[in-house]
Amino acid sequence: MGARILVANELTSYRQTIAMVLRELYPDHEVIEATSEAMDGEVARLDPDLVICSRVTSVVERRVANWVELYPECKPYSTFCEGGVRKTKQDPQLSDLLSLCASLP
Amino acid sequence: MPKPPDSRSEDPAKARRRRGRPRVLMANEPRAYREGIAAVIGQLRPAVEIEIVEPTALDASIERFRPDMVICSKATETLKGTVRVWVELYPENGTSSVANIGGRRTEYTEIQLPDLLSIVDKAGELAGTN
Repeated sequence: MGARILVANELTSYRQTIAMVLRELYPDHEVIEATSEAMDGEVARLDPDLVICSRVTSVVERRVANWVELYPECKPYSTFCEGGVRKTKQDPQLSDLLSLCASLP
Repeated sequence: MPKPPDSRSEDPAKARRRRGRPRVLMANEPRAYREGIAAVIGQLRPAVEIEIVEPTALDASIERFRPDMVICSKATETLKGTVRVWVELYPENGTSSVANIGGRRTEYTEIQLPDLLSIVDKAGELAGTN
């Protein structure tokens, strides 16, 4: 079994899209969808290796080594945190997200 | 990858439709979601020809690509006047979306991925009936 990825970004079709792409490209990873409201609880329950969300929370920051804050408040940038190291990317591409997923154990 | 426009003298749109390969133009923001939705449509509807463009290139791409369906964040007058099936996905960063299918508008309070795929299917059906 590969990594566990929690997909909790807004909006519904976007979340479903990202989850479907990840499941297709990384069948060994476990991809779980959750609403943003349920994200913190799911982080505590599932201990994911990566969280993809629209607004990072203190729970995610504290408990998850890898996370992506994707287009917060619909802004044209995203923050990628990989192993605790943060980088902001302007207008990120899908490939940026996939690269992070590919680097997971 | 999308093929270049048909250079034969025959109407390219008619020739394409006879081949039964609907075209979907993706021009919504933001980029990663545009690319993601295109990837999903390409995976689940392999017969569909997809082109991805920046929103600013929407009108010019409609003229060049002659899509059967457009997914965008802001429907333009050119789009409304020339394309039978389109989806205005989360305009102005809201949660609602609007779909136009052959002149019939439907509002979605929170559109889902299966809704988009269903609209792609309807676009294919409409293209095939022309």
